[in-house]
Amino acid sequence: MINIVIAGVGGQGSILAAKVLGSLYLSHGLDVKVNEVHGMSQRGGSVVTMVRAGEKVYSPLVSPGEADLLIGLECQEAMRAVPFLSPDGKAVISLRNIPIRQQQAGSASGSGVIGRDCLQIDALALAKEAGNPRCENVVLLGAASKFLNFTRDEWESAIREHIKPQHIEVNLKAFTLGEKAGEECL
Amino acid sequence: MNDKKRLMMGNEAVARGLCEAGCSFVSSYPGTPSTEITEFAAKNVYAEWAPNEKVAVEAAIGASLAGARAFSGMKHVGLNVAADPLFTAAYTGVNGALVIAVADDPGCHSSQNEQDSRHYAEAMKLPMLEPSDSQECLDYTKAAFELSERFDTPVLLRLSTRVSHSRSAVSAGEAIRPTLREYGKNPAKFVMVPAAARVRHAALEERLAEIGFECETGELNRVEWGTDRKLGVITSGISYQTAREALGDSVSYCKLGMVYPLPVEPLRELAATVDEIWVIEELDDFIETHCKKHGIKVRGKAELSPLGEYTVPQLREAVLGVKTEEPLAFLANNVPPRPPALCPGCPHLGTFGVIKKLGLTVMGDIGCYTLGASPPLSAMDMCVCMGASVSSLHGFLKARPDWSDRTVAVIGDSTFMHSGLTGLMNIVYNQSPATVMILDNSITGMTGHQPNPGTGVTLTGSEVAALDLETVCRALGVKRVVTADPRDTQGLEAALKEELAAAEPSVVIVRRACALLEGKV
Repeated sequence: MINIVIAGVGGQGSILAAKVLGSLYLSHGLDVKVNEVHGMSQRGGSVVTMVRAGEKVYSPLVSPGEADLLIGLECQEAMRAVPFLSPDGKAVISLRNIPIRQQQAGSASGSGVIGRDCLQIDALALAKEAGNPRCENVVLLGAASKFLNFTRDEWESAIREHIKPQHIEVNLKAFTLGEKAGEECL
Repeated sequence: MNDKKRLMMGNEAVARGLCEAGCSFVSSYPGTPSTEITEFAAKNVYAEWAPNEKVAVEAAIGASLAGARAFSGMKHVGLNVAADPLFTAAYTGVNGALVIAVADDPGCHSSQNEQDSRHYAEAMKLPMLEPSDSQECLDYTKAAFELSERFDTPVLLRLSTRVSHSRSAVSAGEAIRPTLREYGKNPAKFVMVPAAARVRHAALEERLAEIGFECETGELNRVEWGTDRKLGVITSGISYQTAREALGDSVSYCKLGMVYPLPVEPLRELAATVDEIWVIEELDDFIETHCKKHGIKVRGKAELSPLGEYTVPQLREAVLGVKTEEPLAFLANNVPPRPPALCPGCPHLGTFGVIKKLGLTVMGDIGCYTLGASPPLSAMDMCVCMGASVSSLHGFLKARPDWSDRTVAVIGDSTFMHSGLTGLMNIVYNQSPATVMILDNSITGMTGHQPNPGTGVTLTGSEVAALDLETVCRALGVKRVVTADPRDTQGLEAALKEELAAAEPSVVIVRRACALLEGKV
């Protein structure tokens, strides 16, 4: 069973990232469930999206201690989702810090705790470099690709399937930049 | 048949089921987690947003009477609004099939309560199906349409947040061309005066017994035998998925696809085979009560919570006594919570800024602006249900007349059209000097920008005459109707002070497009 948790703030594109991952696993012949959050909690609140793939998937939810991969679109939300990680889980985390209003604690980055299997990516800067700051999600997918067994062609066709034609090129560039940043991390 | 499996959200799969069942009329009111059913349906089936769920269901009843296969989808609290027509539609039965989807929200992800809609099925005496993944969403939707015409009854389809908003693999079938059943006048069946209703009540009981007989053997309920015979579980919907995940393959599962009426024989068979049975169901002890009524000994709510959603670790601990370690849990403890909040640039921020500055007591309502209750605005004193702000302000002021200079109702445009109009009529009729603020962003914001009668656009994008709030309020008898811009906080403050001081009913329409749409429309 493969368990992936995507943590971020409403509006950061976690659902799209989950849909891309879900379709990749489905194309590998696995049973897939993707859990999303809609409605009230999307209004700038914490959003946790989950992707599960395996021979047969029952619950759409990942349990704490079970995730093979954590993709953090925002560093504090990534920290909040760290308990989902399994002992040998990997993490790909954006340096993006979206302030919590009226927050008391400072920012929290997961790197010190999770050690060498945690990639910290300046996803916002790379998304801007690709041409659209909203591609942070795809930058992180690019970085996470080193932990996942999909070919470049599979990634590309999954991205093409889920993204409007006019945004495909920017997103493919974002993916490549993320991929490179991921490689350079270790 | 299209063999290629596709990932579909549960709501999308219900919409696909509508095409494959030949449904030709959909009327709904948006509400998380049900909204996407109608949005997806609109791509292939005639679909519309009604001003509220009661109107939606009544429109669907009309289409069914005319011979069409009709559908309405709503969230759990929407069924409260639509309950009135449905209780009696249970008596009349249908012509074309009539299916109502109701999406519960255990855990209150986006709702003001976590009521268990299964009680409605029992109270209305309507069959209720409950899918547990997207494929079942499609299959059960089609089954619901078949049952509806076969047994001459409206059928309820119960969803929950995790079923509606999870994606799983679906093999879609072929869409069929909708047809109309013959229409013939039949007052004994459709005009529910007392003499006819008494006769139809008997017909309803007879039909319910037939459906009950059917569900003893029907394929919607199944037993999945485990590898040993120690533990059995009776469950349905998303609880089935959580239980299977938590308890594994050694356990036998009685998976109920029809949660009303409930069968007896499959449960007795399970009870006779395994040593011990658990009923695993989120929220109320609906199935458990049924088991106990029929003398089937089960464990359940005495040890499992009636609150919120069940998790895999929670079920493992309760049923198997196995505790899940969470060694990294402490890491998340230092991250401050990030609850939902009004968006940057939201016009409601200006409105609540003024309300807070004036220190007003606020009867609130359902929508994005309910977030005005959160700190630092903390500008809300109550929020109960759609429209309650307006009606409750009236009652509040009858009890405390001297508070009319510092108490307001705050309601959005879509919510006002849903359930605020009659409350405003009551304010005028029964004379309270109430000040009602209608926050008009001309869209249904919280659920994702669905158009409403004030938008001037239908679900499918046709332009229509937009309802004019000022004219409507005046027509209801409100003489003082003013309009303000929430960006002009001084102007809004002045208008609000003047209306609070007035000794008669007034409406302040605070108008500004949703910040997420500004520049887009």
